[in-house]
Formats: sequence, C-alpha cells, structure tokens
Amino acid sequence: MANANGELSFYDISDKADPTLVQHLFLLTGHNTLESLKLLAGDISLLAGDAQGNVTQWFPVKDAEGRRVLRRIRGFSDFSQPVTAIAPEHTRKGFLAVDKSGRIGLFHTTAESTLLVERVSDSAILKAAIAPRANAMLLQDAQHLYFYTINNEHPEVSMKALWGKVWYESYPKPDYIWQSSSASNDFEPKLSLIPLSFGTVKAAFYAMLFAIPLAVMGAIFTAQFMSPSMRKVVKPSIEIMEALPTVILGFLAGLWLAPFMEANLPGIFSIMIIMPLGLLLFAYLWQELPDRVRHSVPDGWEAALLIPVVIGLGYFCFVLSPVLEDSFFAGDMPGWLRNELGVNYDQRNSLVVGLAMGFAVIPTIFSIAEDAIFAVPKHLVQGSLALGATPWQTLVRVVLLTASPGIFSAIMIGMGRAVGETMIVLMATGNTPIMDFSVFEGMRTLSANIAVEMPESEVDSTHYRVLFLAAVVLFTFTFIFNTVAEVVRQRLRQRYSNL
Amino acid sequence: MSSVSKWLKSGQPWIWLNAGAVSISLLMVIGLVLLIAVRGLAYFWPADVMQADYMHAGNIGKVLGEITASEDLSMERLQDSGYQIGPEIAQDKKHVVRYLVKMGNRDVTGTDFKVLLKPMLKKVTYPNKAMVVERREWGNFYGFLKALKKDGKILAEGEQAQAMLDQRLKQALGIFDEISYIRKHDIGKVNYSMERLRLRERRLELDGDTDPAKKAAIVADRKVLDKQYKQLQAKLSQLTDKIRRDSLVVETVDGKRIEINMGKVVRAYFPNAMSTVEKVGLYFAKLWEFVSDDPREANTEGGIFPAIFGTVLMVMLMALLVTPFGVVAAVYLREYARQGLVIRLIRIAVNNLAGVPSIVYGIFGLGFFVYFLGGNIDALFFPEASPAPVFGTPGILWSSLTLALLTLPVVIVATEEGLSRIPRSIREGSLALGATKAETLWRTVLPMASPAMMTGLILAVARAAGEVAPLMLVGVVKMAPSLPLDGNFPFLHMERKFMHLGFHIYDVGFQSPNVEAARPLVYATSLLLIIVIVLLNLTAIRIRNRLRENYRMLEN
Amino acid sequence: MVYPGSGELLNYINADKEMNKEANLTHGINMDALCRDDEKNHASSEKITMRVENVDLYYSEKQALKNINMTIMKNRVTAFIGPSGCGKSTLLRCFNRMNDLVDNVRIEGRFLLDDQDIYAKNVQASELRRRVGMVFQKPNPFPKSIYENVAYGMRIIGIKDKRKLDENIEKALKGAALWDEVKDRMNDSAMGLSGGQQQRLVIARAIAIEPEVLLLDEPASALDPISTLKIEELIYELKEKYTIVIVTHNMQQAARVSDYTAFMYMGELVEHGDTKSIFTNPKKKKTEDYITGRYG
Repeated sequence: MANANGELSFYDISDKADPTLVQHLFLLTGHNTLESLKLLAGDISLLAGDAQGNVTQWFPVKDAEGRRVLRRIRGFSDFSQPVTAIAPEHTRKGFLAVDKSGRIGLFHTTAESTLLVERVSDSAILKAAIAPRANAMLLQDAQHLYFYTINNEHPEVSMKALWGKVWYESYPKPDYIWQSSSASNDFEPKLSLIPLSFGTVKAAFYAMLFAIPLAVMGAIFTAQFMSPSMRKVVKPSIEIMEALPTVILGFLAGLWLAPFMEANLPGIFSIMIIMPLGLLLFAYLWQELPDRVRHSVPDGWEAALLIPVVIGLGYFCFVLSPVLEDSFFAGDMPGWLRNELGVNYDQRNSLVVGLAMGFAVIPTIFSIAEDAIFAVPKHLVQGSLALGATPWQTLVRVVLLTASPGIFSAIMIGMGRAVGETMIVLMATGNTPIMDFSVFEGMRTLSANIAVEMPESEVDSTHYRVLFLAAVVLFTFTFIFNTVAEVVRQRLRQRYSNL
Repeated sequence: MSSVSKWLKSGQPWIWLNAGAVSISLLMVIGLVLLIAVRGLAYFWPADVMQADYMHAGNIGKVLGEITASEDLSMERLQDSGYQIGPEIAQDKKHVVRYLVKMGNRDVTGTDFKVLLKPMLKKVTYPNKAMVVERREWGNFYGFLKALKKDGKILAEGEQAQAMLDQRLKQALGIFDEISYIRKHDIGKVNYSMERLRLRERRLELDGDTDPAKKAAIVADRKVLDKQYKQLQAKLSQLTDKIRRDSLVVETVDGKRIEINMGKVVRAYFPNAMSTVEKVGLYFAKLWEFVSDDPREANTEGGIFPAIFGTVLMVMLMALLVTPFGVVAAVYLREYARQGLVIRLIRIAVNNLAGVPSIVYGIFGLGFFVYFLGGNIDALFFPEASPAPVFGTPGILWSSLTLALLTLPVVIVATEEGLSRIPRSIREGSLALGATKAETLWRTVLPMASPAMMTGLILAVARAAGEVAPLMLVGVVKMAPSLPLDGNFPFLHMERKFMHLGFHIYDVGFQSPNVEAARPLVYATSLLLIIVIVLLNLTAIRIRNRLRENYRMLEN
Repeated sequence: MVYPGSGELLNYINADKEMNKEANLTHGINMDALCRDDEKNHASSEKITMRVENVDLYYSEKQALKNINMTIMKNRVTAFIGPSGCGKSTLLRCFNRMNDLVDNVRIEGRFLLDDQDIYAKNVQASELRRRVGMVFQKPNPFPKSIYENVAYGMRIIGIKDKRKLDENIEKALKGAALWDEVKDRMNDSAMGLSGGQQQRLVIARAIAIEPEVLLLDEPASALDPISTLKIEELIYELKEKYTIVIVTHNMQQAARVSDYTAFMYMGELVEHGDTKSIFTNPKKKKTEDYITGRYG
C-alpha cells in the first residue's frame, strides 16, 4: 500500500488472518509525488511513476538477515512531466507509460531500454491500456481516444541485456545469467551471452593447455629428429586421430573418462608430475647404458622406444592412485576437496573437457606445425650444424625461429577448432551455464547451447534470434583466428619462396 | 654430478621429452580405439549367468544375472555414495569390489540392474539350466524354463520343453517376420496411398475444382484402398492369433512364475551350457542382428540398421552435391582465375570456410535451407499439405546440402593440390597439338587429377559420416518411422527425417532412459563408426601415397 | 648414314680457325639487302612458307627480340643457333603462338604463315597449332597408352572412326621410325618407353595430324648420343613432307641436319643464310666468333 507522498508499506499476507508488516519505505526523494503504481507481469516487480517524470522499478531482494525487502532496481527518466499512467504488458516484462504532456513511452525492464518516446497528443493522457499480445495500445486524453498498433517484436534484447550485468527479478544482485526458459509463463528470460562466451573461452583454454605442449613438442620431434620410416607410420596415425568423430570422443569423455577420473583423481594428478620426470630419468639411464645396447635401437626411433616406458609409468601412477588416495585424501579425493577445501567437484568438469577436447585438437596443431618445421630448408640446418651447434641448439635458434609463423598459425587454427567444438562439450560437461574458473566445475559453451536449445526454440522468437546471434558471435571468434592464421601462412609462403 | 648437468645442458633431455610427446599421442589414439573395440565387441558375447544368495541390511535375496561391470572402491567412497555398510563386510577391509549385475526381468522387479558388493554374495553358482530370453518388450529375462504352451495348453515340460524350444521359437519368429512385413510394407503402402489421396482431394479444394469426375475417381480409389486395408487387417489378425496363445512358462530365481508370449521373444538360450563353438555362432548371429535389424526398446536393444542406412544415404547424396561444385570451383581457381587480390580473398574465404564451427553450418542450414528455401518450396508446390510442413522442416535433403557446404573446402583444396602437381609440360604438349584449354582440361589434366579428387571426396565422406552437431538441427531424429528410400513412389523421399550413426551414439548414450543398458550398445555403434571412418581414411592415404609415386615418376 | 657436308665441316672447324680472320665482315648491314640476298640465293623451286616481319617482343619492360626479319623455306630444315638466352626458343615459340601462355608478353610486328597473319584477331590459336606442330626439349608423352598418345590430336579434330585412326597412327609411327619397336604393345603405357623412344613417340604424335610446319625445340638435348643420331636421321626424312624449324645449341647438329641456319645473338638476328655458307664463310664477325668457339 502506498500514498501520494511515496510512502509504501509492504505487508506479508500469506497468513490472511495475521498480516505482518515486512517493510516501510519511501519510494521517492525530494519534492515529489507518486502518480501511478502498477505491478509488472508476474507480480514480482513494482513500477512507480512520479511527478518528476521518472518510473522506477522495485522488487523484493533478500537482505543480510535473509528477509525479503523491496529494493530500487532501476529507473527510467525519459519524461519531464508527471507520469499519469503505467500499463504493463501482459506476458512480457515491458510496459507502456504516459505523461501529463501527452507523451507516451515504451520500455522494457530487463533490457533496461527505452524503446520509444513520442508525443501523441497536446494534453495529458489520462488512461492507457496495452493489448494482451502487446501489439496495440489504447490511450485516452481529455477529448480523444487513440488507438495505435505497436510493432515491438524483441524488446528483451539490448546490448546491456546481452553483454552487461543485469539485475534479474528475485536475484540478490546484478549478474550474468543465461536461462532462456522455464516452466512458468511469466518467466523473465535471462539472455546474457557472457556466461556462454566465458564457457567457450574456458573450455578452449583448458583444451589448449593440454594440446599445445603435446602437439608442438611432438611436431618438433617428428619433423626434426624422427627417422623417415617411423615418420611414415606416425603421420597417418595422427591423421586418423584427426578423423575420429568428436561425438565418439565426447561419449567416451562423458561415460568413461569422467567416472574414471573421479575414481582415480590422485592418479591423474600424479601422472602430470611423474610422467615427465620418469621420462627424463629413463632417458638419462639409457644414456649410461653400454653402446651395444643403445645402438640396438636405430636412430630416430626414440618415440617407439618410449612407448613401453609411457605405458609403464601410466600403469604405475594408476596403481599408486588408491594408495595416495588412502594416505592423503582419506580415501576419497573428490570428497576431500569438497570437505576440506570447499571446492565443489562435478564429475563432468573442465578437466575432462580439457583432456577430451585437447585430444581432438592435438592432430590439427600437430599437422600444421610439423609441416612448417619440416619445410625449413635443410641447408639452414646443415649450416648451423657445420658451425658446431648441437642438434638442440640448431632446433631452438634456427629451426623454431624460422618455423615460428607456421607454429603460430597452427595454434591459431587449433584455437579456432577448440572454440567451435560442440559434441565433446555437450557430452562431457554438466552443461551448466556458470561462470567459474575452477577446473573441477563444468561449463556451457555457445556451441553446445545452440545445439541443445535450438530444436526446442520457437521459430522467430527472441530466444531463436538470440541463438542465431550466438552463432554469429561464434563465427566471429573463429573468423578472427582463422584469418590471422591464414594471413600469417601466406606471408610465410612468400618468405620461403625466397629462401 | 657434472655428467648429469652436462647431459641436461646438451639439450638431449628436451629431445627425449619431445619424443615422449609423440609416444603419448600415439598411445592415446591406439588406446582409444582398443578401448572401444574391446567394449564394443564384448557386447555381443553371450556372458555366463551367475546365481547367488545375497545378504544386505537384514534382507536375504537371490540374484540371477550377468555381471556387466566390476569396480574396486575404497570404503570412504562407498560411504560417500550413501551406502550403509552392514555386517557382511569385514571391519578391517579398506577396499571392496562392487558389481553391477544385470538381472533383467523389468516387468517383474521394476529395475533390471542391481548394484551388489562381492562380499555380500554367497553360494555363487553358474547353473546350466539358467536361461536368457531376449524380448521385444521389457528387456531381457533371466530365469528357468518350466514349460512350453501352445494355444494356452501345456505342450511340453521340463527337459522336453528345453528340447522343443528352438523349433517352436523358430516357428514363432517366422510368423512374427510375416506380421511385421505386412505391417511395415503392405499396410504402410496402403497408408501412404491414402495420404496421397487426401492430398489430392485437398488440392482440388484449394484449386476450387469441382469436377465431379475427379471427385468420383478419388472416392473410387479410396474404396479400393479401404478394401485392401481390410484384407490386410484380416490376414494380420489371423497370423497374430496363431501365436497369441503360444508362450513360455518361466520361473525367476525367486520362484515367481510368469508366462512370456512367444511373439515377444527374439531369442532364448542357455549360456552356461553352451560350448565355445555354439557361443561363437551366437556371437556372429548377434553381430549380424546388430547391423541388419531395427532398434527395439527405445534404441537400447536390437540393431541399428536404420541409422546405418540413413548415414550411408545422406553421405551419398552429399557426395553427389559436393563433387561438381568443389571440382568446378577448384578448376576455376587454378586454371582460369587471374592471379591477384580477388583470388587471394577467395582463398582466404575457402580456408576460413574450413575452420567455421560445424554448428554454425547447422544454424545456417536451419535458417536458410530449412526455413527460407523449404518454406518457399512448400508455399509454391505443396499448399495442400499445409499446415504440416513438407520441405519447410528438417529432412535428409537439407542435411545433405548442409554437409556438402561443410565439406566443400576439403574437396576444393584436394582437387587444387592435384591440379597444381600436373607438370606444365603435359599441358603445353596438349596445347601444342591444337587442343583448346577446355579440351586440355577435360582430356588430359582432369583425368590425371582424378585420384586427387577421389582423395578429396573420400576425406569429405569420412568427415560427413562423423559430424553430428549440424545434423541435430537440420534433419536427424531419434527414431525414424520409415526410411527415406522405400518402395513407394517417388521412392526417394527427400523430405523425410532420418537416423544417423553419430547422432545415435549421442542420443542413446545420453538421452536414453536406461543408460546402463544402453551403454554397451553405444560402444558397439562407436566401433562400427570408427571402423568405417578409419577404413575410409586409410584408403585416402593409400591413394595419396600412390599418387606421390606417380608424380615423382612423371617429373623424372 | 652420312650427312651432307658433315665430314668437311667438322674438319674445317677443327683444323683451320685462322682462315676466318680474312673473311669479309661488314658492320651496319642493310637488313633489307640481306633478306633480298637470301631470296636470291635460293633455287627458284623453293617456296617461302613463313615470314617474320619487323618483330619486337617484350617480356614486361624487357625486350627479348629486336627487329627480327626472316623467311622460312618450305620443306627445308632451318636451324636457329646462338648462345643461351639469345632468344631462339622465344622466337620459335612465336611461330605457334605458345607465347600466348605467358603473362605480360607483348609482340609487335607480323608473323605470316602462307601470307596470313597468325596473330590476327580472327585466327584461333588452337587451329594454328594444328598446322604448326611443336616438339619440346624434354619428351612429354601423356600418361596414357602409346596408341592414345598418337591418337590424341586426331580425336581433338573429331576423327572417331577406328579404322582411320589405326591407319593414321601406323603411318605416323612409321614416319617417326618407331613402329617396329612398339607395334606389339600399343596399349602399354607410354611412360614405359625409353627417353629416345618417348621423343620419337612425341614426334609421331605431332605428325599424326599432318601439320605443315614442325617446330623442334632442342629435341635431342635430353637424349643420349645413339638416340640423338636416330632423331637426326628422322629429321632428314621428315623434311620431305614438312617444313622443319629446329632450335639447337649444338652447332655440329645444326651443321649436319639443316639446310638454312639463322644465328641469333642477344635477341637480334645476326645472320641468316644457307648452312654451307654460314659455316664456311660467315659474313659477320659475331657469327664467325660463335662458330669458331670463341664464345657461347
């Protein structure tokens, strides 16, 4: 209940026999009177129009003590004359407001946008009504009745709604939220693209973290140090790796890797440490072996030699996992994370996605980088070796430098691929559109979102169009990456033609 | 130690680490394929059926079923999952083995999987008489055969029943095949013709055509179809009657007796009593059923033939669409276009096209092909079908078009590369003999480039077979009622939706109500898809290697 | 077989180089006069088949041919000689408009085949090339069968009748002195032949469509001496039916094989006359220097 001075009393009448006063507040400041008060569709928000031409929105928000009290959320100050009437739309969170000078305004609360302000008459408009489908309005001033049709298809979308922090109804503070639909009809669509974009970047980041070292280092070895006969086997294998459908990778990630990782989490982490150290140890010991043993493995076949070593180290780590888990993590590492560190562990999380998507991206980066390194003219390498440099020094100082544009281009293209990947994310994450940097939580990406929501979205609705917009954003990301990579590659080709 | 630091400085350790990266990558690929192969192939092997007593939380029960998975858990994880540890587990045990047992009998117990701990199981045996019945509804049944019934009366019991089982089953399956043929094929045809009749009628209405002769023709046709339908229905009921009252009388491990209608039985066998040879035979029979049969039980059992068919048909259509465009574009880019800014821009565009995420292609296909083109086609050519969309909805035509667009860069790049490797001397030789540029292309250059074009096509096909994301938007469905190619005119129905192997994997693995039952099937489907794709790629690689040899010979 | 003049010329070149010092060399010769001289030198039964009039050729800004004027006599062998880069191949490739394939080429002047300008707008390059055939330095058979290689030109013209094709192919292969070697393996791939055989196959392919002129661009330089000999024999036989223009950097070959020789240097036609007089009594010092081996 409110009076003309803007004093509002907010009662809780859930118990009709005993109404309690929840809050008593002033809606206005300074010299002002309350001219109109209406509830927005959904009956959660209050719209107050005052004599200074402002319309403010209020809804209950949980305060520090957990009580729900009305807060001023936002205001629209497009009128200079008192707001004589407010007509909220019936199904959407927009409203029509009219003022004393004969002007009307169409607004949308979630998008915080003023869609239209126009003068309709010279005298005050006293009453206003808006059609159920928000496609027409009826206005009355002292002498006339005005009927206008409205074409306002997608008011929920504005730059702020898509990319800014919006304070949605019943939320404690402004936030980036994506929630496009729910069961109720009066639902406020939350169409921020930020959580989805964040998810895309996060997934791509973890994927590249895993893929770049393996791919680039593998490419270096294959192009520079591997024997040609082994190279003939390795290159097709990597090509087959590239050809594996991502739907299968995603399925394995979601149904096999995720539970496996949850059950052997210490093992996964110990691999990251033990594998490189173990390989180095093996390499050092191999050096110390007598020549006869060393020469039994031909030059350039080190990768084949390391295969049993890798298998052994991996097996060792996973045998060690339960022991580690029992000793340090009280037998249950995800539980320990949850209880001791307060870190929520989602079975389908970024670590799983990183591994799976990294697997998908490795061959892309590998092929291009390998071609670039292989294309470095041999006479450069020979020149460096002839000056007394070691193979490694030659690699770092001459080859990598010359091939660096190619490697850069490879990484760009890999990034483009990681950003656009759909099926793996769809199957290996919980598909929750949260914004969290934790590696143990999932995410939802632009691509997976489109795949999941498009079949159920109504054609030509706002949701439908926002999904198309998401596709455009995705396309722009990949377009930038790919064009940069292509320009770099063309310039590289020119440079090599001179060498 | 100076030798260690010297070794570290020499850069050798880095080289070894790089080699390790290659090994890790190789192992991941091989491991992945092996994992799928093992789990996929294991699905078809008739597993032994275990019988045991179990005790938990004061309850004593019996279990009869297949052990499908076993896991080693720590006690803490067990507790975390909400399990109450009873006296059946020794106190000092830190780890316990957990089994997932497939017990079937969903119509009796309500769930077909049960989680049991190894220490809970007592008196574990593998009885020879344990029988597995694969059914068309309610999944598998595990139990013991008691009797066979024919026409409601007991035909044989006990040992005799077991002996007669195969023969009776074969008979029932024969009748079932007949029934399903009539349903799908004959009645389907009648339905289809009825629908076309309705559309004809509607067309007449829309055109305002009141010609009584045409109307009479429609009425007459409808009469004929009705008669046909009634005849088929009669035949159907006759056949159904034959097996309606034949059944198996079986008993679960708990002693409960139920009857299973013969018409609902796909297969019945006694795994513990089978020899290895018999098991191998059954294995191949199940394998064959997998690739040739339709799915059952919400895609969690049976075969995946429609998905295989749909994938193959779509890929063929796509190949038909992409080859001419890709080859022509590549020929233009390499042979006819002037070198300069325009060509560089086109090249950048083609390479960009290769990097666009597949889901964006799906969106484009949906917006442009399905709604714009399809909607207009419907308005122009199929007004009588409205409001049901014909082409204005996802279907196999649009899917093939979308994937053709997606794989276009692959074909262009492969063809261009093939064209660029043909030595100038061959072209000059042809021109010097009086051939025009077009004749040179057609008679000499393109035939020489055809292996490269073939490589491009194969790679495109391999890519299309595995892409799922765009198809989710433009044409695949979980269950297609009919194939896009059938015996009804116009035989190739481009507007129909279809099933796809890749989508099947996603759908069955993640959207099916019974994930445990579905999982082995998904592994098997993945294996099939991987085999197809690996074979295609190996073929392309072989052709490409042979090409390189030929060109080296040419250049010499 | 011994070629006319080969022995004498070789002896001459090897024995007495000093004699050329006394040769009468004038500079700043009137080109028109020289041409007319050429014509007067020929027997009246000889006809002119190709004429080059005031030709300049430019690759972008660089001038590759300067003021070329010459005539090619029918059913005779004309050789172009000169040091590398003098423009002899470039000039040869003008005769069948192969230079059309190169970007940035500009040609001024006229080339006349039987008094018809071959660069005229209404002349199709492909039609011209049926009358003026070419054999390249490196043998370039198509990766098809021997039969199909020789049939190629005829199929383009539209000849489909198998009997006619067979007839013409046999005739061409016999004309190229290859028939006996391949008549039993006509369907084998042409790539399986030796270098010399491949070059003869290419010649057979060229003469199968019965051109008027055959242009040979260093046809034997990629071959071994035996094959070279065979090719030279062939040229001698072919000139009965075709006019032949051959570019060669091998002077002895030119001396052995040709009736007329044109010496080019740095894009200019220095001297053109019958082979005997060019080699025994060159009018220009440059020619003499080249022939006696002082450079090139």
